Amino acid sequence: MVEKTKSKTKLKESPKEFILEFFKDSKIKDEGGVLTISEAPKDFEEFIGKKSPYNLVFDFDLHTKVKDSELIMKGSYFLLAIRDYLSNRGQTSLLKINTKVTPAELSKKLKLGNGKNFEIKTSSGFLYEFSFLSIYQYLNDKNQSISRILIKDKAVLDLDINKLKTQKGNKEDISVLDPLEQYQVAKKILDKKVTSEIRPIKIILKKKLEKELFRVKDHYFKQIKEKDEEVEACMNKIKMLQSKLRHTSYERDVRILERTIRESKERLESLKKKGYKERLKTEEDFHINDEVEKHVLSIKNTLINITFFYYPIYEVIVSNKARKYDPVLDKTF
Amino acid sequence: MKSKKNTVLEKSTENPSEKVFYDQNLKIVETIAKEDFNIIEKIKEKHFEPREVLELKLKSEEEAKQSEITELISYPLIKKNLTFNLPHQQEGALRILRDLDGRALLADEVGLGKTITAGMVLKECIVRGFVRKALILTPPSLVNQWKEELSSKFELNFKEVNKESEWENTEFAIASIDRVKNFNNQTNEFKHTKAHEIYWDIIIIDEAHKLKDKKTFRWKFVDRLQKKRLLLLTATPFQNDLIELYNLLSLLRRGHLGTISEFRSNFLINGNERQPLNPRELKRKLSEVMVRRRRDEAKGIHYMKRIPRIQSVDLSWDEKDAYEEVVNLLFVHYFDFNGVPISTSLAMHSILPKITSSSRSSIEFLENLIANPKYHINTIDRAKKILEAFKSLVKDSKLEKLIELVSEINQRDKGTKILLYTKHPATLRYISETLKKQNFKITEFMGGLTPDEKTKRIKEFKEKTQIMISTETGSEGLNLQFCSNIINYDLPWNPMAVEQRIGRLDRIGQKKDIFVYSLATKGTMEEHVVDLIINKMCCIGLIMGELPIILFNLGLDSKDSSGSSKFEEKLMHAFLDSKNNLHKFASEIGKVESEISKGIKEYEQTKQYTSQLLDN
Repeated sequence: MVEKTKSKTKLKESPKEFILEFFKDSKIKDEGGVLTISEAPKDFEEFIGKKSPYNLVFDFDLHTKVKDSELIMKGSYFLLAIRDYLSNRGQTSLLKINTKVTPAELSKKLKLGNGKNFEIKTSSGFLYEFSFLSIYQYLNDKNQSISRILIKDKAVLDLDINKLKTQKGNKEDISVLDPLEQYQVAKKILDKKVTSEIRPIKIILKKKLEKELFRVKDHYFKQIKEKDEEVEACMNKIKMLQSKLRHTSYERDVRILERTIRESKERLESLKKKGYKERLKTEEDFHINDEVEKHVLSIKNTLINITFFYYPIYEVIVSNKARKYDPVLDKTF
Repeated sequence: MKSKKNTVLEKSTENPSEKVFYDQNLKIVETIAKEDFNIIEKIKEKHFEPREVLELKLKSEEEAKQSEITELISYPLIKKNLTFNLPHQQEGALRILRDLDGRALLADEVGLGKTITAGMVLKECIVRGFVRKALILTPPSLVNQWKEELSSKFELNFKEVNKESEWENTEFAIASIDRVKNFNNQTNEFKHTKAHEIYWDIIIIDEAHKLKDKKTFRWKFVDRLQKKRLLLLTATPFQNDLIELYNLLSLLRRGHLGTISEFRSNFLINGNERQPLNPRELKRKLSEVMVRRRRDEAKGIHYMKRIPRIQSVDLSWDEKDAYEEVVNLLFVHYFDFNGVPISTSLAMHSILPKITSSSRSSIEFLENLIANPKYHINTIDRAKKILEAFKSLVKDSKLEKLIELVSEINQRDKGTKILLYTKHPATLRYISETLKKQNFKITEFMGGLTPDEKTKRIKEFKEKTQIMISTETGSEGLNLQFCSNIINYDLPWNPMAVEQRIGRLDRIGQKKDIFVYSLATKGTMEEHVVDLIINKMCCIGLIMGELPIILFNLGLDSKDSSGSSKFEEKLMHAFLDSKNNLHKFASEIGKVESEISKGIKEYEQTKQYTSQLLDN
């Protein structure tokens, strides 16, 4: 597969190892479960608004005992602060891929045969690695994933870049860069990956939403039904009273029946006048919308780094014919 | 900007977070997030950083990743601001978020800190990035208290919304529910209809039992709010009728208890509105949306008694005369420069408390009046005479009583800490000077102190001095559990303000019963007001937080445009109507007392019904 969701970074390293790496240029004292960091980078101190030393603990009980300690656990405030501090850093990198190919290896790759004289020239090959952070937020949950996508000549490259030896690149070695179109390709690959990643989340959300929507719809269905029944009962009552009235001659009963019919008619009018169906339907739509909004899956894809890799492509000229070898792709052409 | 094949134009859009690219026919070719675009630009400018930073950054994303809610990651942030760690508060917040999807009725008994639990839910949602728009609706009298607690304990700044235009661009809004629920009959719309146009990530409603009637504008206003999460806070979700509970839950989850007809047939016994037909099933249904804990279940909370001690002050004849003269000046001879009478009501509100506070503050008032040319010459002349009378007083009976009282307290418990309250800075200075002369060690605490200075003075009171004299201003939110004696040198006519004073001491962590001493001058209206507020309201065994609910239920907690509470207003009107006739005033106070006592009785009954349904 093309996109790499895991880098050579050991993702399961403990927060403590991460902290040690982050503060590797600072003074660190590890005593009694408390990691005391002093002489932290000045810009980090400014960023979090607190000067070192920092007393970092990795256990909640210890945190309650050590005064002014920062609890370090997955998702804790201090780690969030480091993440935010790093968010605008490390966005672009330049690496040179070390691919030393001997003339003998070249001859073998290009099947030139032994003993032939040939001239070797080099030109530049390059590729881009785009790293994206995707955050999926829904209800009170949050998931995230990192995608590292290699693009060469606007096409995805299925290659484990970490297997190649690299060194810090020199920007004088490279000419004008315009990664926009490469980025657009990478973005399409990312979209496909995201679509597959959110599938299980969507299933969970759909199930939950269906349950909530059933509650709301059922409630309003019954409410409308109850009102309908009330209207019907009212109409039946009027009919029944009118029939009784036709067969009654006692003046007192006539008066009572007429009054009851009048009251029932008023009730019926008031039920119809308020437009209960429309009102309840509007209410239902509001609550359905509320539930739908509540179960929305919000996706945020952010580009966090572009690394530009460059390396030599070998060109061999034999008998006025030029052949090329790309050592990264291990291809001849 | 140009790509290799097509000419693509970059154009700014209304959305600052994205860049839009058009082709020559102005058809959108690509929309790119601005953050992404900036990185692309960096590459073009050949601006590179070490690759190790990326690796570190990826690790940081992994370490900062928050998975499902099993603990409150925001707790370490707020822990430092909370005086006590009460496990039930964290447990409640976790349950609301994890099990109830943030839609819940928080019905803990009074005194367990529902505000803190709700604040924890709010903070957690903000830290986790779930909440960007939050709204809190409270009774009018609690708006400031909420704002203060959210700021000091949760470091969250909420903006109070009073006018409709203020809803726009307010991410964290707090409002008095009484104010925003107003309905305009002419336009047939709510005055604050803009609140309904916003999609709120969370809404918290305090004292939610007031939403018991679905025919009220209050209920309808809340029902129309679009919200992802909703917390309803009340210790007494129903008062007289189970239908009230149904209405409350309808706001939370429509149809959770069925239609009203289903609810009636499933849960109501004909003729008995309080006893459910099927209590076990109703309780089960409630547990799906409710968090409720009793005080006896919560660890770490002990309640101490409040012991009221009214200290009657006998004024000398001269003092009484001087006092009567000032009241007379205000009632009869208070004119502006043109001889037009100045509103007695206004004058009484602002001046009377100063007069009853101390002779020093009376003198200050009279001196200011005399120096101010806006008053009529006759008023000024009269004031001059009264000022002379005050200055020639040889005795200050109230202050003498105070010294006597402090000595008595010392005899009972030598060196015990005393918090002494007065409303007026002039009185504060006057008492401080006098007590210092008597060799008492004093800390003064008033408005205008910086946070550092406040901390310093609290430390001084805790460690070095015996008495702290304080005004209300600046003392909100103080934790003085180490002190168990309070003296009200003068008393605000607003019981909520008195509760706030006592609340500095009556907090979780208080280990002793609290003595509430209040000085009351005999033969003045103060005597009756102190008796009502202290003996009949603040020291009758209610838990901290219950009196505001009772006043809210009685509609006596809201404020008028001048900032006075309705209760205060009631007392002031009683005084004005009595025209300084104390018998008449006492009779009016008696009526207020009856009203309060009825409110307390109803509240106690409600508590009992709620407990029967929810706790047994």
